[in-house]
Parts: sequence; C-alpha cells; structure tokens
Amino acid sequence: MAAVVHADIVEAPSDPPGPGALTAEQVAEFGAEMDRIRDEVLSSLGEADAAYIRRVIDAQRRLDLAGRITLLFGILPPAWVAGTTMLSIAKILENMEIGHNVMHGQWDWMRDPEIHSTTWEWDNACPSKQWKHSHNQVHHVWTNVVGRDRDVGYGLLRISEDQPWHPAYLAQPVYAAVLACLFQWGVAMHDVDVDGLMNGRRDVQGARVRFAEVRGKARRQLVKDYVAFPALAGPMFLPVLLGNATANLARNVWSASVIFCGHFPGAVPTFTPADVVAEDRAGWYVRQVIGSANISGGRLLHLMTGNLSHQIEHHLFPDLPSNRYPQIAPTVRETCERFGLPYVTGSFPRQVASVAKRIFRMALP
Amino acid sequence: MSTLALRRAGSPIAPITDLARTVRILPDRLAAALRWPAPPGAYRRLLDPRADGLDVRATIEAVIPETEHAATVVLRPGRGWRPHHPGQWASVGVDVDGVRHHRCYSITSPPVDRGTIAAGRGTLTITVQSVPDGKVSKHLVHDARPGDVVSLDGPHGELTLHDRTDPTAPVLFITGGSGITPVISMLRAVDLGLIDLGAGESRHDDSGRSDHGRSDATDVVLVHHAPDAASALFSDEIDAISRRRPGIRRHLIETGPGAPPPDLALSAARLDGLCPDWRRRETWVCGPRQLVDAATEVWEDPRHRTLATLHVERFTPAATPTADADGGDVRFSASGRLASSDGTTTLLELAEAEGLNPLSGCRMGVCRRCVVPLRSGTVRDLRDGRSTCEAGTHIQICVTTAVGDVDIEL
Repeated sequence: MAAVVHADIVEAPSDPPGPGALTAEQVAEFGAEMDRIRDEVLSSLGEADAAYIRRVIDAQRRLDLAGRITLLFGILPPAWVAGTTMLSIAKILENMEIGHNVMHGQWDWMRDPEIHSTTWEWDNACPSKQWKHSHNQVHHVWTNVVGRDRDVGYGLLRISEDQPWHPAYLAQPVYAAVLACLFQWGVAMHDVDVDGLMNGRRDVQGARVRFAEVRGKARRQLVKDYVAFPALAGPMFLPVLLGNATANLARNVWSASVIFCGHFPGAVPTFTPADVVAEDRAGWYVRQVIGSANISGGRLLHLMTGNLSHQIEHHLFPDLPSNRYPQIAPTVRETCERFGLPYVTGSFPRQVASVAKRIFRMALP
Repeated sequence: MSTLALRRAGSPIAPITDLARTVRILPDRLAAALRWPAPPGAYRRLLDPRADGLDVRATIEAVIPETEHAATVVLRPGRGWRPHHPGQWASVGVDVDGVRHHRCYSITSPPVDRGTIAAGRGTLTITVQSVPDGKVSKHLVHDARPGDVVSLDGPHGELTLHDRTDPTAPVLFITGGSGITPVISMLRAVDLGLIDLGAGESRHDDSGRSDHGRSDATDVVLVHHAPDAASALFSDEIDAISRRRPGIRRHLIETGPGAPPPDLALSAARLDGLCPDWRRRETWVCGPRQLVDAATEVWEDPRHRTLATLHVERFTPAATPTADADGGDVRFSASGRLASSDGTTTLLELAEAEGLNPLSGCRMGVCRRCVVPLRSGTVRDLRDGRSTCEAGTHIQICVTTAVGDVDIEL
C-alpha cells in the first residue's frame, strides 16, 4: 500500500457539510466501513493491549508516589518543582489516558475488575457515576446537538450561532479562563445541571441527590490533597499543600484546553435536534466525524491528551482502547476524505488559538 | 465523647478502650485517605505483586509436568489467603491473551497452617489436565511461567473429610480423570498424619498427629478411572503412600481413549470385585458426569442396601458457546424474574417488559451504562454478531440477545 501523506493542518470548511451532505446510500456505506474498522480492532485485541494499559497505570502510580514523596521535601525549591511536575503529570495521566478511557469501558474486555468501567473511580471531584451519565450517555450520543449536548458551551459559553446571544456572553472569555482553572469543579457540577435548574428544566430532588454525591466525593478529594498529605509533612505542610494545589491547577488547565479543542476549533459545526431525528447508527458515525476535531502531534502529546488528540476516532469508537486510535487514524482519515467528509486537525497551539478566537467571536452578537 | 462513653459503660476503662480503638484504626483510615481513589492494594502492588487488594493474588512458583497433558502448578499466595481443607477448590483467575478467565481447580497440596501463609512461606498446588479447546488449562500446562500473577478466590467446596457422617466407617474414594485432584490432597494429609482415616474404634491422638510409618488402622480404598496407566495422575506417589500406610489401597480402571471414555460405567458387580465391603464404606465420588451419575444410581438403588453416605462432586465443564439456538429462557437472577426470548428482542427490552427498570442510556451500544454481568448461557451482540458465553463478562444488554437459555445478574 502506498504511503499516504496527510497534511498536518486541515481546517473545518467555512460552510460545513450538514448531515444531509451524503446520500442515504453513502451514509450506509460509510457506516459499514466504520463497522469494519471496529470489528478488526475488536478481533485483534490481546495481550499487548492489556500490557499497555497496565504499564500506563503502573507508571502513573509510580509517578504519583514519587511526586508526593519528593514534595515532602518541598521546602527545597528544586524538590518542590520536581515533585509538583511529577504530580501534575500523574494527575493528567490518571484523568486523561486512564480514567476517562476506563470509564468508557475501553478496557472492560480484559475482565479485570480493577480496570473496569463499573468500578473505576477517578482522581477528580466529579463522581464517576455522574461522569458516565453526562459524558458517555449524553455528550457521546448527542454530540454537538444544541439543547441536548450540554458540552456545547457547558451551559456557560456561547460557541455557536445556534445559541441565542445574551449580553452576559460579552464577558465569556473571562468565564472560559476561570472555567479552565477550576475545570474539575465545573465537571463535578456538570451533571447536577445548575443551568437546567435555573431554567426550570430539571427535577430539584434529583439535583439534590447528585449534589450530595458530589459533596461526598469532593470531601475525599480535598482531604487527600489539602489535609492528609500536607499533614504527613508536619511543620513543612505548606509546600506540600501548594504543590498539590498547583498540580490540580495544571491538570485543570491542561485538560480543559485539550477538551475545548475536541469540538470547538474553527468552524466545526453544531447541530439542531431536527438534524438528528431520522439518524441511524451510520448517520451517528457521520455526525461524530463532522462534529469533532483532532490535534496533530507526537506520541507524547497523544499520551498526555489521553488520545483525545484522536477526538474523531474516539467519537467514532468511544469504547475501543485508546492505544489503537493512532493505528486506525490513517484508515479513518482516508475513508473520510474519500466520502468528502472533513477530517479537521491541527497542532495544539493552532487549535487552542482557533478555539480562543471562536470564544471571542461568539461573545459578540 | 469520652464522658459519654464513661457514663454509658460505667467504667473508667471505656474511654481508654475508645481511644485505643481510634489509635488502632487510625493507620487504616489514613492509608485509605492517602490512597483514595485508587483501589486497595494499588500502591503496595508496585512493590509486591502478591499484595491483596480487591482480590487475593498468588504468583506461579513452578509448573511441574505430571503427564503428557497435565501439570502441577505451584502457587505462592499473598496475604489474605485462608488455609484450605483437603478436598476444597479455588477459583483461579488467569489472564490469557489479555483476558481474565476464572476456572475452578481442586487444591492438590496438603493443608498449610495460617502462620506459614501469613509469613509468605506457604505454597499451594493445583494439578491441571489440559482439555481440548481448554483456553485456561492449555495455558497453565504449556504457557504459564514462574512469576506470572494469578488471582485466587477461595478456598471453597464441601467435598472434605470434615463432614464424615460416621468417623469410624472405612472410606472409599471413586474418582475419574482429574477427579483425583481433591482426593490426593486428602491422601497427602493422611500421609503426613494431619488427618486420621482410621476405621473401627475412633482413636484420639493427643498430639493430633500420628507418626509416619506407624502401623495404624487407616482403611481407605481408591478406585480411580483413567484412559490408561500413563495418563493416570499421581500413581507412583499413591503407591509410595500406600507402602508407608498399607491401609490405603489403589485400583486403576483403564477406561480406554475417547471422550467420553467408553468404560466409565460403574456397577455394583464391579465394586464387589474390587472392594467387597463397599456397601458399608463412606464414599466420596468425584469425576466426569457419567461416573458420578453411575455412582449415584448404584447408591440409590434399594437392592444394594448401602449403609454409608455417598458424597459427590461433579465437574462443571467450561462454557462453550451455544450453537445456533435462537432465543430461549432468560433468567434475571437478581430479581428472580423469568422471560422468554425470541432471539431478536434485546435483553434490555425483555427486562423492561418484565417490569424491571435496569439502568440504561443510549440504547445503541455507545455509552455502556447498561452493562450487567452474564451468569450463564450465550448472548449475541446485534451490531456485529459476536457471541459471548464466559460467565462474569459484563454485557451491554441494550444491544444483545439470548442464544439459548441465559441467566443475567439483573
């Protein structure tokens, strides 16, 4: 097979194809090709894949442990910097390449009860159970459908013309920056649906129950990072506390940036509920491609983004192991191009800039 | 709080024990707070692969070939493993091609005391006979290597010598194939003097042990079935034991090759020939279904006037996919409901029609919110036609249907 050279940058077309861009036959054909890719991966899962996730988990725990031990000597500036860096990376790996993907059930096929979507609790203020609802069940099914996918602006930002403008959006660059810094708390409150409550959409009792769950989880997260580990350091508790806070901040800003790049760069479109009324499984595949954007880069970038740099592949196959996304990406891209579907990608700085531009633009009417 | 405790207990000791309790649980509480949200044992396993967490683990010490198709696997369990009684089995979780499979194996080693295990010096053995298409047995016999980690659940099982109805009755073991594995653990324990299988007047040994080689009243007959002498497990060892303890006698019935072997039929006449007093022996039978069924039939036949109890244990073969059955009975075992499947309705729809309200999400196989463990039977994924029959697998009920009879944990 001839090597296909792909450009590193593909911007979303300014007039993006809607779900009606392909004929019904083409949609079905595209769906069949995607099913074939899925089947090939499922048939070839084995020991090497299991070894991969175990290696990542092992490395993450070693890094976490090393970072926390080093921080106990955080009174010395080099130790503080080294410990905080290790802990930040460990927290990013845990949330992105491990937690998010395990909770999708990407590793359920291993039947290891400790690496399983039904048991994994991640190092994040958001309870896993609520994440699986708001993310797996709502966002991945209703991807970019305004009014259904609450990840379109997170109930806080206007990122599409389909959302009516309001003067409050004028300050949204500030909201976005604050949200990125406090991202885990935004994620934690996501499924409580405060926005829905204020607009009278959600049941109060349900929200109260979910809020109590968030409080329980948040307490354990706070005790760990801001009480228990600083206490271990005794009189030198302050560097540990500051190191932990910095690691949480670094993880928040990094994951928010990566996640914003998944669906908001350039002219990646949103959809209306009417667009998806008649959609079948194959149509759902098409919408995942049109509504997602990749980040191009090397292996380290893919690892640190939890392979959300392969957002398109992830949205097509949210339950396939993330280590396989780079492998299927060329075939997915070639297929998209053959069907005339946009395969949006770009470097991390470029995508971040593009998202920022969109947030500023949409702040205005 | 301490004054309250004082008043309630009416004793000055109470606040002190309260404090002692707090101090005692403090390390555990602190460890849990520091470890959160990783599962128990997550960090200890970085150093010790046998550390216990959600499960008990063991490492493989050695794999010793027994016959062409069988091997003894020596396992060193970590903390959390309880000593077994001879005759009990463990469910061993083995990763084959990245997928965890659980299989039950009788523990063939004699018992080890708790202290030895706690000190990390105890081992236990299982003896595995590789069966055709047996993923796990083939892996353990041919591919497992020292250092591999397995998960252990157990020990379990009632086929032990603890529930002898008549401790004075002589003993008969009837075994077939790897059905000898629970019995060898018992015989090894008898050989070591850990168990007394003496017949006649019941003897009590103050030390709890009788010396090796001492002439004792052990009276045990073993009737073992195997295709041929070469594939009979533990023959040399049992012969050596019976030289030390002449009260132990072994008979081998060569059943010939094939599955099922042609000569597994057990009859009163055959037993009369091998062991004339079999009717008054308390008997344990373990082996393939045909053998156990034949023994049960003999013992239940009123004409034979058997006087002692028959203890049985059947092998349950590993699940094989049901062929092309469409639909079947679906049992929701957590709720006790039953439904009938036509092979096209999803298990989620069936459960809802039964009035159950299982957690579900997208109903298209994307979000995996509806996964529940399969207990038995075969299910098919409607998206790609893949079928699953391994008990314990979490299946997506929104996109799977029953192939034959199915039991799911709902």
